[in-house]
Amino acid sequence: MVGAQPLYWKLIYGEEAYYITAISNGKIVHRSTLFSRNPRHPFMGPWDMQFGGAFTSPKARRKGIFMAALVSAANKFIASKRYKIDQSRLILLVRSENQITNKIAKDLGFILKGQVVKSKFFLPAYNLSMDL
Amino acid sequence: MRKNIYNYFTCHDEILREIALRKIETEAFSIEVQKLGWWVLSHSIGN
Repeated sequence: MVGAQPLYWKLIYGEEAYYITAISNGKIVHRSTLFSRNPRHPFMGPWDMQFGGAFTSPKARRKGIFMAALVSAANKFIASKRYKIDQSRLILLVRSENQITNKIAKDLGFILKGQVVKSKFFLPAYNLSMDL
Repeated sequence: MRKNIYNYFTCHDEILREIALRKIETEAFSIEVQKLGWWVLSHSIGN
């Protein structure tokens, strides 16, 4: 079944998705994903990709791993066929109460475009609630 | 209880390229980027 992609896969990650891991001493200490538009994220454009699902093991935090994963994702996005100059955007959703990641996003030059609310269904969707 | 409200950030063009050009400190860890598929799923579950 190598290479096959089931339908639910596309529902969650869209047409194109990458799995990013940080490995330290042979152990996975961070995971995140880079994915294209999908039914759960209807506000994304056809040439956009989103960096999300990031988790860093508590012991490995404050070492710049999130930043390194984001830089790797940006490189992958620019190198991919989906990237179109003037049209593509890299999207980042950050929990409103997560002060550290909100600061990282602003410091890197990301622009706050609005807010998104996650619905409470079995397969949650993220919908724009405020557009700045 | 966690709020289900997320800030929606975007970046493109020059800022995106600036981020991509940042140097990564790789002494303590290595970053792997793999296309998501069945192999990666079974590999990650296996770990």
